[in-house]
Amino acid sequence: MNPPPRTPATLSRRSLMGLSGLALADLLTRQAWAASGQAGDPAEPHFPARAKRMIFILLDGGLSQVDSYDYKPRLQDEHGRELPASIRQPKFTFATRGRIIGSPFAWRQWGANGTWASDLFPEVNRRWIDKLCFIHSLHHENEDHTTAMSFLNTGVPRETRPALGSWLTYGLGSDNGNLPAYIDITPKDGRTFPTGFLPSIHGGVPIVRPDRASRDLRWENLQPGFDGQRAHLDFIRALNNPHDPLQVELRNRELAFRMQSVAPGIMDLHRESESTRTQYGIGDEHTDDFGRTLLLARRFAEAGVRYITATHSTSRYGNLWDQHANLEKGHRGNAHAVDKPIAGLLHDLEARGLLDDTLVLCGSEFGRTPSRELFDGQMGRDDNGRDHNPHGFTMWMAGGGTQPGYHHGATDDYGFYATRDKVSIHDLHATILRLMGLDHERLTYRHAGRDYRLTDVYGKVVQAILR
Amino acid sequence: MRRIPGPLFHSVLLAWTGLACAAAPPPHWSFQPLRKPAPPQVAGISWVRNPIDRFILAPLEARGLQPVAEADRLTLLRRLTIDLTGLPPTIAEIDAFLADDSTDAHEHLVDRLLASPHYGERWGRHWLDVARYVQGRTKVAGVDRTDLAEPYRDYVVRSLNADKPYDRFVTEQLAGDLLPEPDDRRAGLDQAVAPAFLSIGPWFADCADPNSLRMDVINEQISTVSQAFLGLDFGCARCHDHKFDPVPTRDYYALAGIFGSTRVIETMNENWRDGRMRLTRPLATPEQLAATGVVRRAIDGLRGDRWRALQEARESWLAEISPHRAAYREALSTVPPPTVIRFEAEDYHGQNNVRRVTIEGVELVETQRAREQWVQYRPIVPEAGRYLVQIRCAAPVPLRVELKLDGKPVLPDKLLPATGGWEPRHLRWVTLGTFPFRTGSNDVRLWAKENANLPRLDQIRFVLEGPARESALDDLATQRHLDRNVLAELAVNPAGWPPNVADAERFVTAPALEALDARIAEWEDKLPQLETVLAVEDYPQPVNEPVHAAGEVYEMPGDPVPRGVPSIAADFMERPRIPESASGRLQLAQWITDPHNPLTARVIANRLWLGHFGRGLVETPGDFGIQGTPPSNRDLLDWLAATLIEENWSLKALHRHIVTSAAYRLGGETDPRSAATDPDNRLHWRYPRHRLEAEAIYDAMLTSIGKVPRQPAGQPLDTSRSKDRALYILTSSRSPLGMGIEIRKMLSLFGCDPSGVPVHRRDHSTSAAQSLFWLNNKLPKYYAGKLAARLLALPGLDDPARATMAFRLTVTRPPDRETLTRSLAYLHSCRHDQGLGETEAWSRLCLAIFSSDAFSYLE
Repeated sequence: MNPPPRTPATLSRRSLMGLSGLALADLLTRQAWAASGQAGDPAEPHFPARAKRMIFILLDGGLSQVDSYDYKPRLQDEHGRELPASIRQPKFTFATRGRIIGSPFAWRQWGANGTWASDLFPEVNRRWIDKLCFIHSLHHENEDHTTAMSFLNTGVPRETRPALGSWLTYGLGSDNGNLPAYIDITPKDGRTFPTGFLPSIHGGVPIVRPDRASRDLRWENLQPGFDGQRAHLDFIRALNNPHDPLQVELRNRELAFRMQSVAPGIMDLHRESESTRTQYGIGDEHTDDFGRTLLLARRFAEAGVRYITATHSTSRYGNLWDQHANLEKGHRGNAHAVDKPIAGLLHDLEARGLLDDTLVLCGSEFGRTPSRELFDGQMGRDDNGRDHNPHGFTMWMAGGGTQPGYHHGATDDYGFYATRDKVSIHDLHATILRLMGLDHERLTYRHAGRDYRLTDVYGKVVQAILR
Repeated sequence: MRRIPGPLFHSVLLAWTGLACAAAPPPHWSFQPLRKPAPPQVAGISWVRNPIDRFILAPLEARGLQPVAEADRLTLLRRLTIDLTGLPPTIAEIDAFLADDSTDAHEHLVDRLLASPHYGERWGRHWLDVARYVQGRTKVAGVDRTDLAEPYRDYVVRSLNADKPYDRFVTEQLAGDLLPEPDDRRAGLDQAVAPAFLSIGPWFADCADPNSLRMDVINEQISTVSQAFLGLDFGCARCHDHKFDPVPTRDYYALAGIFGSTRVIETMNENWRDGRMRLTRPLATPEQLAATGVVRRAIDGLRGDRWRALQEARESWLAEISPHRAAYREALSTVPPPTVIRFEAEDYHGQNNVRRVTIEGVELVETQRAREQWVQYRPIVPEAGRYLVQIRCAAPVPLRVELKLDGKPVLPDKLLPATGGWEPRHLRWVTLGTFPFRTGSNDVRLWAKENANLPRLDQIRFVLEGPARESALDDLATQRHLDRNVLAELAVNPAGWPPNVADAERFVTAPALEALDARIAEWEDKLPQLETVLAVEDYPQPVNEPVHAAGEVYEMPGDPVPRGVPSIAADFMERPRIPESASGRLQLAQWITDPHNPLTARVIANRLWLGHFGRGLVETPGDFGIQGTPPSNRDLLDWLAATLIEENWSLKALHRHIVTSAAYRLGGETDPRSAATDPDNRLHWRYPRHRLEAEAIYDAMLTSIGKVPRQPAGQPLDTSRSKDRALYILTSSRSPLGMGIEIRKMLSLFGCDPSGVPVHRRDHSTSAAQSLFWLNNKLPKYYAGKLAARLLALPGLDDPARATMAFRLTVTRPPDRETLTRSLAYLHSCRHDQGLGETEAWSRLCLAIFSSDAFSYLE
């Protein structure tokens, strides 16, 4: 296929063919997408950017760190015993916790570095584990999905503030004047985070399935234009006040028209070769869904979209990644659905020379407890499962200027609490912004008498993971 | 140690040094006492229509500028009608206004519009933004299908339509429940509904830590109240003294005591799973409540009688049947034992929002939180067939349940009988029905209907039924003169014999019971159906809140701060004393509505100006503090604020001053000289064109097809007649076209924030996504199609007349000659180049008009 155009120059030639002589030069700048609000010119990064774009693979529900990448042999040894008194119980917990359960998965060392990992993600581990950059010491205090998801995405648990993607869009604009800068593929419940006080132009554009059963991924209100749409737009233009036209509305209409001509092509996964599609697991019943999601993510990334969230939020394998029960079956099924697509994405990005300046982040809103979750203080009536654990969990990054093969921080012997080199979500945000060339203390927005930041008054860049 | 964000540091230092060092800096303008300035002298006196115009004209003249000419009549009609009612004028209204050539036609129009019941809908929506109202957000289990914020919304609309004095409006929302009961019944109910203002906010009730939740609720209330009424966000002072405004942390915690002593949550359970529902109350007068109590007591009495009657009936029935026990045993020995799978209720496979409890030594399952509850069992049956499903349960009132088998509702709505109470002695068997099971594992879930309670459950059993077995039992009963029901029960559960009082219900019939049932039913019919509304009340024991260091929930190093009003303007305002026994909400309301409060009147006067012109005199309507923008015309703002207080806080009077001014009647055209001096129109030399709110744009489509009938001016609002307006139809289930989701998306696409935070100024940023909406979304296409059909149904019109009508119905103004020519050309091209039919061609034309600037912008 022809890769979608990435520079304004090629675009303008291309799109002009469909336009009736409108002066478009000014429309093709990223300012069309960047601040229409009160900010100055936000498109210049504060530092040279290591990553130009970011793909966040969000495993909705809570991937268990102690069953994937945080190896704790003690759990196997002490299966069925109480957690020792040295592991304190949080003051308030989501559910009652019981005895230790060992990981039901097979652990071994992978790659040239001999990294310990379970067999949950064999494809990723086999081909990529030496190139991933792990943070094992993430932590926060939000024990339920709603607040944890909000905190992970916006930096606050229980208020409406802009999400990371909106901040990046606000700070950096878009590299493609024909596309929005923030795309949210199959977000949880089909809804993106509200932009909060940032102008709505910085909001995520959701790509959703029309219904649960469908495999289609759809962009709201985006269709290949109807016949005669050009004439329609010209007529609208004629209706407006010729002496005092609303330039911004005019620009938006033209941009929408161009988006219609560009975006459906990007959305069309059939433009990829069969081998690429296979590499993402498309066509295989188990991996097809997420394979499409990630292939689409790559196509957007390649086209210059700044920030793409790809949420694994189908519930085909039980309650998302939220295995309060059926840990083995649920995590195995979920991992199987994403493993090949993720490995395929990394491979594809690398093959296209995009991995160096694309930051890939993979993880959940929290991890899971090393102990069994109890319903009503009872033991043994329900299948094995783990409760939410925001106190110590793992995510990995790849590309985008991160340190390959590096492991940052650690949890205690049971994988419950982050203990060494702890990384808060604010630290994670600060680090991501730094990788993207932004200083989290300088990226502010004035609202209600205050300069707001993604990291509020917190956040420290984790220097060690920068390459 | 908390750090302040870098970029702020400089200004922080400035602010601090500014506040601390200067000898006697005048207080920030908005904290200075409000005085009514005299309107200035101006040269162009002929332009002046009222004092507002002098305040506008003087600064213009000082710069040698002049206001542009007055807008034409159609522009003014459209501007006023949309501005005051949120709806474009109808054809009849256009014709009537054009025909009215009296000199005070404008004033008549203003009077009519201010008296229109749609005025409250329009300006109520403005207030609801500030009050962070979101349709369908505040749902409470048990009444989950009711949007509990709706009564508050309607209260706001009613209050504005009645021109309730603003000080009263504020007081009711803060402390309506604490005001003396008025004589007027409707006014009393309004007072009860109004404080929902404090309860409709978004908080996360499932927060693991109840203490965090409590402080979050308080913070949300303080922040909303201070922004809404005072134009300051005291929320900043939760963690530290306000960086810029004179709001010390102690002031915050003095307010925290007031709101912490205010109850908005029914029970603040420690465990979120136990539920933390918003406090509700029936919307009723004290007399109605007393009457309800009488009925309830009567029913309770009758239920007691019935229990005793059942006891007696059981005893005589047992006396009759016990001598034959051997005969039953003998009879049953002739048939094979039935296949029965049974579970103790507590041995469930899965559940949602139920818990195990042990009552009097019996382990039971009960509702934990009345929200989407179900309990799941996995009976493994040896052979496929039809199984009788029975549960042993207790509940004092009839409850509705649903049974799902492998995810399919096999019994969608079953009314379980009342069993006499919740206790183990009230447990009885209830048959749900007979359903087909397959060999092996079956997924059985019992759901509570509509988030009401489940009964307390003790056991569930599955009994295989078959024609052979049924007829064998039938035959035994007939041949040996045995009770068929007793036979069946003894076969399944011999150990459970004899049944207890509650369970005896299955076996006895007694005329006394039927008579009592009839009487209970009669009384139940007398129970009035009372609307449930959000309730706010004082806790019996108010508490003071200590300062939480850095806002941390558990860091309280100092003594509690006495409840009190903010210390702003303390040098010229009296600070009401809060009685020991009261939260202090009423005193806070008194302080806010004190005419000496320098902020209250200025803030609301500015909100009115913002509503009329799309931009406030203070451009940060929620921030009158040091970080807010200074007023573009302070004397004008002060004059408006002082006038509002003078005229008994009448908002309609203030509207009238504003919209009858020459400043309001200005045209929108530009002027090169003024534009060069004041490109941003801060001096108001022309009317500022601005985008309409999402609701007004939607309502304009709705009006164009005749869906919003105008209601007579001066009459109370009949919401049934305007129920399709955007204000009312955000929830998907009740949207008229089954397009609720599309409508909701449209509203948020055009700047209506659904997240429940206070909005002081709508986000009017435009985006290509909005343009895509006009090009492709089915909602505007639907309305364009309907409008086309309406146009084509008009008899005797040629194309030009019909096109003219299309414009008048949508943008009020007929097209000029050039626009008409282009429209006809476009129609022609739709018909001939694209081969579209009549309706479709006209739909395209209408869609283009919807998409044009004139439709979405107020000129």
